[in-house]
Amino acid sequence: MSWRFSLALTFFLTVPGWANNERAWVNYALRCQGCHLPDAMGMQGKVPRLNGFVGYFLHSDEGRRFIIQVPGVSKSTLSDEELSELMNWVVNEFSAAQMPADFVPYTPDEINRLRKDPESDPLERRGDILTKLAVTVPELDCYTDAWVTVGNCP
Amino acid sequence: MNWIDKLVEKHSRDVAQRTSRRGFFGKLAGVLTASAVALPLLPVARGGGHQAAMPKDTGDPTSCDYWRYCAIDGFLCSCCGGSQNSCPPGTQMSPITWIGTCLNPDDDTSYIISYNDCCGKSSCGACLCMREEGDRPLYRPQLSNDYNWCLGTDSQAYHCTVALVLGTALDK
Amino acid sequence: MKSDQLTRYFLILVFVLVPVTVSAELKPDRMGDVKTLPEQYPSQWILVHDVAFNHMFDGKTIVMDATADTIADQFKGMFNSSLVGQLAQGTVRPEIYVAETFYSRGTRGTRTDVLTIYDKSTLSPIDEVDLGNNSRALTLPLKYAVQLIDDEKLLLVYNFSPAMSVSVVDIRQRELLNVVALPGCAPIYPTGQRGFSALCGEGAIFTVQLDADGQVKSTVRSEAFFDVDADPLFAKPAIANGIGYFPSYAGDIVPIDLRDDKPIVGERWSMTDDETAGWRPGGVAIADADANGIIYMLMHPGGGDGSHSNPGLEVWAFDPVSKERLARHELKLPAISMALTRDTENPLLVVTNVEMQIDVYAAKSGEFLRTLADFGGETPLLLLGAK
Repeated sequence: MSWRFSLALTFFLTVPGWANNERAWVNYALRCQGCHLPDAMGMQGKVPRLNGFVGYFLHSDEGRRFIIQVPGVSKSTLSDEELSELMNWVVNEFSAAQMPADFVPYTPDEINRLRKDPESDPLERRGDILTKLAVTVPELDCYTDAWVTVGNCP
Repeated sequence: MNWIDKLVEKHSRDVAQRTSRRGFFGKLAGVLTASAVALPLLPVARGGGHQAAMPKDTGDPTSCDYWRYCAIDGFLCSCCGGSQNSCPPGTQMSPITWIGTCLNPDDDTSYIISYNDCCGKSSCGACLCMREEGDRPLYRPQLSNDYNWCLGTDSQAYHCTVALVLGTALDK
Repeated sequence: MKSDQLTRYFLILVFVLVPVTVSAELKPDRMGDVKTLPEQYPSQWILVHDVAFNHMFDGKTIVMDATADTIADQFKGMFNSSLVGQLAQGTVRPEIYVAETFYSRGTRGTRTDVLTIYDKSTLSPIDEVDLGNNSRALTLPLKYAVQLIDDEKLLLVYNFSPAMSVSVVDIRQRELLNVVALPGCAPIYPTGQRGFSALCGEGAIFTVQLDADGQVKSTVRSEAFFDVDADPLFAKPAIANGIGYFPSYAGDIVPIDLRDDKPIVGERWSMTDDETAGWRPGGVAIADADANGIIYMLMHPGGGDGSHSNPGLEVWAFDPVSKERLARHELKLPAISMALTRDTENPLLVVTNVEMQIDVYAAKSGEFLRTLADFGGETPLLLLGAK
């Protein structure tokens, strides 16, 4: 067995909500890619970057909730099942290296709950969450982008 | 001026649009199996990996009726020194865009179409085409072609629009 | 006649006629005369917003008299707007507000978004407010991109960067106060005394109430009440007596009471019946209300997915309270936009037809009155009754 197959099998056996990569990609393309771009790099000052970054939000409960509560996700008309599948795919696809080792995939129930409480001021909240994460996540210490600077900068 | 032709012919075309419309998503010929999955591929444009033969792409890209233009709203870059998938000289293709799906009548497959704008010069003015399948109002920006989508370029001067194939949509 | 009598008559003639002839020469004109308009525009005047779709940096709005029959009497004056300006009209002050975008080298260079303030009488810019974030929404023109609230003390501009937000301007001090985030909602419907609402991507309505300094006092989001995929509401309602009548793609109306700080979503009703099945609203500017509270919708037959921008063949008038359709006005030529003048006695219905001319109808009877043609307009996508 190739290591790839083992890896894939592991994912399929242990990661509910990530059953269909193709469908997740199609949903990303149709609903997210227009702004977040095909490589999920976003655009400074215009669209938040997911690539190499969104996984950091999973290091706190607040951050984990936040990325579901942002308008682009919470207002999606995808089913809870497809949205949990999509979000699990997005964080693994674009930001596996930033994710916590003990990441528990999103479930449809969780998505259902979080979507009922969408975030009204996403940029403000993002700043708050990153500020707190900078205390515990070393890579976020002295992090800056077009919207925030967090952590201790020399 | 194209406005006149397009707007008057729309009245007769909309009936044709409606009666010939198939489901919003076409069929995906082939399903990924566990053994075939490595790590997910990057979501760039995919070729015809799911189909046995090369799909056809017939139709006139300078015509408003070309299948890819099912939700386009603007000038066709094919008439402006570009093509259905490339920008005219001296313009910039905006990476921020809106994305829909259109049915290719040649292979009865719904494709994901990215309507990127070419920007940095004022309106091309040739081949104005306004079709609205799946278009939604401003509050659903991912599906709204009323916006000037030159958001990721140096200048937001709108010049023309392309229709890039990104891949196939799924059967829902 | 005797010769001396003749001479007398001749001399009288000379002394009478010569002075008359000399005084009938044209007096030289005074150089530098510039006309002005009344600060209060007459009730049958309209604003014709030509966004110059083929050369958008050179847009213009023409002030016109919709009752006049000659170009000289129709065309009152105009002002420019750059890269699809969005307009709002003042009534407390004789001002017109234009949100527009300039580049330092015309079509390129450094971008600057400003709110230009025009004097209604001189049609000259008297001031501008720098909008700062340079992300005012660039879209087809609509009334609800720029709105005045709080007795015209605050002016709101809808932004799309692609994040959605609203800039709040103190329009008396002429300074930017705040930018309020909109969570996936657009554009701007004045709500309550000092607030605004927007429709959202999940099918709800989101409302912000501001304090006097333009800061957010409260926000509230309704439950989802419409299906954005199956039958979305147009973002362009007819607002009559503080109630927004939102048409849906399929031909329903959802009334939303915007008079209090929290909007009240009313019961949905259908504009069509068995006889008119398949008729749907569509176009660019598709809904308006007259000064008597009657609402009008631009309608086309045989509608379906993708027909919501089709030109309308008729304008339907409704009493929005009784929900009774009062009239179906057949249009001479299909039209893409329409508006009502504010005259209460004989409101006029003006439409931009598919030849980009303006057809004028009596709004009550539907009688075709005249076409405003050849006035230098190219793409007059938005019409506004002069306030």
